Amino acid sequence: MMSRFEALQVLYQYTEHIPVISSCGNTSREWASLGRRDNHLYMVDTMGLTPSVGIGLSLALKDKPFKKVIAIEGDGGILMNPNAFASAAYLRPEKLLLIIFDNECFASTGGQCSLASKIDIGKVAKGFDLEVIAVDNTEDFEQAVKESIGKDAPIVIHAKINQENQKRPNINDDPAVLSYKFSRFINEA
Amino acid sequence: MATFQELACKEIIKGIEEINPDYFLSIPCSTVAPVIQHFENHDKIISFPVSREEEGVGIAAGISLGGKVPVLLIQDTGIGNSILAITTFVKAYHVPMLILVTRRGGFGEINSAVYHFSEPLPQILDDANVKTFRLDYRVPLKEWSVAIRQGFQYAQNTHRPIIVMFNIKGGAAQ
Ligand SMILES: Cc1ncc(C[n+]2csc(CCOP(=O)(O)OP(=O)(O)O)c2C)c(N)n1
Ligand SMILES: [Mg+2]
Repeated sequence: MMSRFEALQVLYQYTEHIPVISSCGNTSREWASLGRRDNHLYMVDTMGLTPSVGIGLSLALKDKPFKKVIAIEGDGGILMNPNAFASAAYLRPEKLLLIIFDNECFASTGGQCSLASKIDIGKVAKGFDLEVIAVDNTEDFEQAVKESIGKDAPIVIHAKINQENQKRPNINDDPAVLSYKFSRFINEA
Repeated sequence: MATFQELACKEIIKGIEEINPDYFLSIPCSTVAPVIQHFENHDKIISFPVSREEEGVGIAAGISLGGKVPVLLIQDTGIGNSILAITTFVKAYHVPMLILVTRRGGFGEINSAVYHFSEPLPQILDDANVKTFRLDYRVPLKEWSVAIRQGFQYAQNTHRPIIVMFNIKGGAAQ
């Protein structure tokens, strides 16, 4: 099974010009450690809100020249706010790509067991009538990312990952600055 | 003769239309049913319901970051469902957003539980440093639409969430 960091390395190659919002905890830290980009918005708290922000953003950017808007969330985050599945199902924002990294635990806080160890998040998303691509290795993940970027429909990639959690520096920037860089990128596009 | 509630709803609709938002997001409160009904059938403003206020705040924040204008209408108990998102995302990331909030609790309230949240809410918002403007019977109704429009402008100018809260039940100050 791939690690979150290996999957992020793959994703990084396809997101030079795609808005990406990443969830709090170590996901944003590993993601930022690959190289900061203004088109990537790093969330430092508000666990579970990343997919919701991604949904709003994909509505607003409907007519902008971005192929997709990507929200990265963990299993703990999406099960804290499964409302995002309901919104995606109801609104069907065609630019939305929601990537769920499912390690069946709260890796960022020490690897405590999460509800995902007994719940198939992919099935939950399908229950909301969302298109789901299930993967557990980097080759399939890369294929899923490429395929999703080319499609005009909301897509969920349910990526099973191992529990590896790479220690990376904290993102301690003023969120106003993170937000400013991101908005400037969006508005100039 | 039109009731206070009917006149208030008309003013609220007027205020929102003057803002001319791209999106109108809501979770119903019985006191503003006519407002939601009005926007459900709007030809220019896209209206949709949300499943939980926190979700509405997240989606509205994404819309605002993407350069479009959202307006969110919820009842005050919904602040309890969304205060973390309002503070640690909308406020921390300087996202402009107008949140319209209907007031529960106080004279005229028939629910035996909501006052436990609605009564301390102004204090909670003050302590959380979320700027809130309160409209009630003391503010002439014709000023409500102006306040809604100014609340929106203030959110844009100061890069943060602004709450405009209205008490449609009338009666004494809460
Ligand atoms: C409301 C709230 N509760 C708890 C936390 C602490 N917290 C930060 S990251 C995290 C784990 C997130 O788990 P998951 O979404 O599965 O991501 P993973 O770290 O496993 O990749 C937790 C519990 C928080 N930030 N906010
Ligand atoms: Mg996890």
